[in-house]
Amino acid sequence: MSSSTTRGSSRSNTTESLSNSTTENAPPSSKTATKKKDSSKSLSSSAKRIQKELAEISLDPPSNCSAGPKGDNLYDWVSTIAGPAGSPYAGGIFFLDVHFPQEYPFKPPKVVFRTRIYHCNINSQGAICLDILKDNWSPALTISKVLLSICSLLTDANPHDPLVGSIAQQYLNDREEHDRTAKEWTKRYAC
Amino acid sequence: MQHSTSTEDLSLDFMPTNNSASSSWSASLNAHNPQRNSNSSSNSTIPHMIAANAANVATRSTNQTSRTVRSHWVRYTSENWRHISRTSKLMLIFSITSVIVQFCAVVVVLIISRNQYCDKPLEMILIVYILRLILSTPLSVYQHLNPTYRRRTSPPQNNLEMGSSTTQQQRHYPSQPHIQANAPQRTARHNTLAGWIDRAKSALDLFSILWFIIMNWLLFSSSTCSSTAPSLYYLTLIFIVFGYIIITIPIILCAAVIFCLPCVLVGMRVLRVGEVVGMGGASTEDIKNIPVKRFRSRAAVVPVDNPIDDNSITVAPSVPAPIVQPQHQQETATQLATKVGIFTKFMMKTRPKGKDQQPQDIRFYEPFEIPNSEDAMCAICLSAYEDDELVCHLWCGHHFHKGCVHEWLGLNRLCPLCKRDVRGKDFDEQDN
Repeated sequence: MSSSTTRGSSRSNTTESLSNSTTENAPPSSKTATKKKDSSKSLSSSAKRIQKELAEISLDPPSNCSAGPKGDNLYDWVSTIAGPAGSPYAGGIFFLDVHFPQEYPFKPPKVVFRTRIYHCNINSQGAICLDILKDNWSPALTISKVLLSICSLLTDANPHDPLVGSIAQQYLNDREEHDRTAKEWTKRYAC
Repeated sequence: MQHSTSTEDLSLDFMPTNNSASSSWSASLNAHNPQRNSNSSSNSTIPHMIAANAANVATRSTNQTSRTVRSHWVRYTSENWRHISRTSKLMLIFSITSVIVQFCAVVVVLIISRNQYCDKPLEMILIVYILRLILSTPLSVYQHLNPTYRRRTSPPQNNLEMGSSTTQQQRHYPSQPHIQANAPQRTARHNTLAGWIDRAKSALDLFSILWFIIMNWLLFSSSTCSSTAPSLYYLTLIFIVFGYIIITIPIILCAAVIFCLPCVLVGMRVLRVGEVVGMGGASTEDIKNIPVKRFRSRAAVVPVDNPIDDNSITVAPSVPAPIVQPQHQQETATQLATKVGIFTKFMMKTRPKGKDQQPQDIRFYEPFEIPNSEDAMCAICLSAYEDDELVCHLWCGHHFHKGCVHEWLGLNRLCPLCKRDVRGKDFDEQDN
């Protein structure tokens, strides 16, 4: 008796929740549809381009790097960079979040370090000071090229245009101490 | 970080208009003085000054018999009035009207409160105040009519103008060399007069500040005036409030700037003004000037229905993209086009075409072949060109889909691949 009632109640609950979810989901989806109608052309072109990049990066991934969508959303990717050999970051695996704007490839992707790193061009929030992610962006760049430039930024920091001034000072004045701290941080956060 | 590039760009954008404007001034104002052209572009007031001085010289040269400027002050004033800037005209009108209004108010109040008693000498204060105003008015009028920038720079300018005027005079009166000797004396007298007027004006200003403090002290220390002589009291109060407003204007302006700047910055952030990528985009005209071509893959050979195809140049595989159509081939192309025109039109209409391209228009675009099929790809959308797609061919040799590159150039005028200015080699060298 009791089991049947519970079964019945649970069934009704599921149907209710289903109907609820459909009614809840209906208005936002129509809203997004109208929103997307305006920028439908650019949206589809950006999605196409991101799909092409995804195919390219999974077929022929650049050394030390990998990238792919986080979930169903094609515009949010997660990427990993292995610390380049010969740098104090060697042996570490650094995670990055990549967000493609709707205007991609005409606007640069937003790339942020999720793993803490001791680097004068990367701050504690993970923001990267790299010209091609800002003013020097070009639509001919792809995410694999961007990841490669971040790799080369790890090998050769740019202390003359720093995001963290103290680390840049140390990089210029006391390179050994800088490298030691960077190695320590890599061991602590990225291994 | 790289903001300097954007500012350079702005200046580049504005330069042509400035140059054209300045050249029109200089052309109209000093045809006899061509070296001035470069100077006149720097400051908009300079041509004005030149005109004013030229007019001064003209009046002086016409009134050679008159020895003093004073006897011709009406003409002098009217001449100067014509040549001072609009703001100083407004200032002059405003100050004169305010002096007249204050004078009338003082006279009326003094008549009204003739028999009213007051413990502090407010009447005397008002009389001195208005006397100072009336004394300083002609001085300020003179200073407005002869602005400081003209007086300060007068020695070299007068020399220059003398040079030009003497040449004119020699042209008109070749037998009067003594005029040249008179001119320096006149300018010297003019300068000493200006100096004395400046000194007198600043003395009066200093006195007015002192008097303002005295007015404050007397007014606020008086106890019975507000009840026994209200009109006197309130007029003085109005003058004092007026003075305070004038004193606080700079402070108010500073405060406005300080408080409005964050609001402006926040507004810019909300409107995403600063987020524009890199440099300014190319103008629509510049974008239109980029040659648009029709892509044709080498495999697709359609001999009959497209006569212009016969003229497309097939480049050897080793040679990259740039294609130049020789003159004689273009001529044969037009001949052929007219001959087979009707036939082609018919064929073009029946033949299936690309999605959003007009079949009639396609014929007018120059065909474009890329020898290496791997290069036949748009670097912006990363997709390969298809037959009869429109391709923009930049002067640097790079090519993209028309739609893709037009969208990019609207944001930034550099080639996505080599970062050269799409407007041409000259602009590119200018930027570098």
